Amino acid sequence: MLQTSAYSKILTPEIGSLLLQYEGVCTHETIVRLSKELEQNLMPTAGARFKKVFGIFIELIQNIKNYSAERSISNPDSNDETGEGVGIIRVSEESLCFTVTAGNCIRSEDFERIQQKCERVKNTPTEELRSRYNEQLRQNQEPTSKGAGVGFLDIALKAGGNWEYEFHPMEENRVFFLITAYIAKSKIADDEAKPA
Amino acid sequence: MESVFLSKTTETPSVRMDVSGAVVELEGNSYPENAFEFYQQIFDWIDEYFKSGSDRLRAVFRLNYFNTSSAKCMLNFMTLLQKYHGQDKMISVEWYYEEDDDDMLEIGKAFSVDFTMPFQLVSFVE
Repeated sequence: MLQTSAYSKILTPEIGSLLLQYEGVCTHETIVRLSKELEQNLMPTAGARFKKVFGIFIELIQNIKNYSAERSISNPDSNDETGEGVGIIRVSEESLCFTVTAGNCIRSEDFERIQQKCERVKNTPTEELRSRYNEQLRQNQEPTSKGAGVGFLDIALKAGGNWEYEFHPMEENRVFFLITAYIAKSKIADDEAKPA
Repeated sequence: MESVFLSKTTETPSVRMDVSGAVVELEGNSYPENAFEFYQQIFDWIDEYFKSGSDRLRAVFRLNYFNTSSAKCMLNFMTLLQKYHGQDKMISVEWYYEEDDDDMLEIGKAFSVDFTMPFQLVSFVE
């Protein structure tokens, strides 16, 4: 297993106030526990934007659980994803927006596929995200998908297009995949939510 | 044919599958560990319900938040209801969305356009 403490070093130091941070195995029970915690920390301040921040958090942490290349049970003889995914997730509040950041390892051979998927969504104009989401949802699922195959589109939609991703090569045929979404505190501030 | 009630949990909605009321009603959050498995039991109940001779069903969705796997299940849910609508069963759908929740509204809108069964979008204020 890679040292998970290395993950937090890749994340930029947080600005603003931290609402939640978790690093480790993401079981279903962990997700339920953290979602309750986030609800408590977020409800008082996020108001109408609560569901967007919450939704992005759930989508990202379920991604870690399902797709992280680092698993709670490692089985070197198999490419099967046994056990639960390991990763890091953080939610914080800044002056104009909330940010949700999630990171986990992926296999080097999956890097290109995931990068292309991110690029496709990133290059979709914000006003077309909704129709793309609807189209994609109505298509058959990818064989590798445990979900609906619209995760990145959902994140992009909820963040109003304000999201970004990075890949950092690591040892052992692994690439560290990091996603950050910015959710503006008000609809008017949507365009200003991006960090300078 | 029996009515079934599933209690609400943090990550799954309450589900009322009511034979005498001719209604299936969901309320709460939906991000189960396995959404496809969770919704399958509801679809199975609906199939049985119509097999036992019922001729109408009201489907009420009062969801607060759902993840993308659940969104796919909602689409499958609508497809199933539409199938029975096509078999001359009386189907009606009520899709509730909180007033400022544009995500819930837009998903409901897309369903209401895609499917020809009676479909009502209803806003509410928390």
